Amino acid sequence: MLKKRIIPTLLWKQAGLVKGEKFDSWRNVGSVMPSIKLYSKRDVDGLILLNIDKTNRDLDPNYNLIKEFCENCFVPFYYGGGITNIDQIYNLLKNGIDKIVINSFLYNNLNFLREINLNFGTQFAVASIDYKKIEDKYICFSHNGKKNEEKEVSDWINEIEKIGVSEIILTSIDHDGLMKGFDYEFMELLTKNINSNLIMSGGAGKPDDMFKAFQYKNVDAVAAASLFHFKEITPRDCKLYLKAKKINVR
Amino acid sequence: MKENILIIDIPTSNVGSIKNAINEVGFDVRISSNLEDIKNSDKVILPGHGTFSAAKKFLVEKKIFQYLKNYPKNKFFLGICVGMQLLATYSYEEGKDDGFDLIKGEVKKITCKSHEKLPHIGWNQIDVVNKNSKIINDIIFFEENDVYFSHSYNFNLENTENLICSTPFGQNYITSIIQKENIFGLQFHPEKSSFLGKKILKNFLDL
Repeated sequence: MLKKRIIPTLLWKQAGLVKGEKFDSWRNVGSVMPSIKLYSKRDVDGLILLNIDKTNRDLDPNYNLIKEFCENCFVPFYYGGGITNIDQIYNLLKNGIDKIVINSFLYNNLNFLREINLNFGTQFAVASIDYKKIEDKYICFSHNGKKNEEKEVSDWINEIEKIGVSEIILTSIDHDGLMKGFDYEFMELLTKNINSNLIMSGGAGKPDDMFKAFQYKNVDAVAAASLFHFKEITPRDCKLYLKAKKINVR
Repeated sequence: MKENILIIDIPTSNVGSIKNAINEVGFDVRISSNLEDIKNSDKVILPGHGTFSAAKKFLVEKKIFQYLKNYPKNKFFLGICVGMQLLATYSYEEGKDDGFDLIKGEVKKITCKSHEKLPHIGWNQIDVVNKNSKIINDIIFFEENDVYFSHSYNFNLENTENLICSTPFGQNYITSIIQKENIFGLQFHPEKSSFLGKKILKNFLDL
């Protein structure tokens, strides 16, 4: 049976890893390489590395560093941050990345997704959507939560699904980093209508939050950062808790 | 160099990732799409992201296709994901297209059960059908039998004797490991399947 997944998210900014609250108030939480080694050794279900410096710049990813990171990762490795062309993806694959995450660039370049699917198949690209609740509507934000795309999440998902995508990461900016639980209200509303593989992100503070998220049958995976960085909780702890509650995890 | 191992350099594939896993289990490996290099290798690995036809087109352009179709019996071959699907007689991914026909069968889109989604992505179990294959040598299957999948098409085998492991997904099951003599195929990604994946990869490299 296909297992529910727990995927740590690593936010890479300048030299190290950071974590904030609601996409702000960044705190340093360590170095990239030791974290990747540790998570890979701990046999996590995947790792998402997002370069949150990148989206504000026009530089190519730092392939040399990425190559070193990948040499230490033997679970699916997702990379995102400023990917805007196919050549970058070829280079990322050559250096050891397995899946790419696209977000901001997609809003004005949906054709890029078609191009990726044509080259790499629909099992490859992962669309990431960050959103905030504004007056009862769930609105997409890009560029690290700074730019209002004036688009409702459900509409945007429909547009993406028409083209086809491997997975969708949904992150509630309002819940991010607070460790008070995921955006269950939104899951209730939305997840019924999603056909893609869904990774929920933003707000996990304890294993029971993941249990609650997996009550929504459509949630295939949860992503988390703060509880691993700031509390002495490991992905393994979460899995033991979930297993005891009959959730099908590895 | 212990062995002459080569990964075919398909640019749409995660060749870097496979190289890392092979190095990790203690082997050197070359990455190339040059026919002479491939002919000079004892073990060839064909990775695969992307579509059947795109991968095939690349192999035809590089003049590798014919060599692989008539792959020598005294050497070992491993296809991963689309690389495994290319072993088939036909694929129906983008209209009917022929593969190496090294292992008889057809590649078709998975028919899901109502609660399932495509692509089939994530960790799923492999159940042993034929325990005599060396690719699963020394693997103790009990709780830890999950590997990482990422695909929408399945290899429907003509002869079940080629089936080594299957995986519960879709209306029937997924063909997850196949073998015919010196030819092996893995539908999942051993390079990304943590400890179990590395063990399976090592079994192939140890042949």
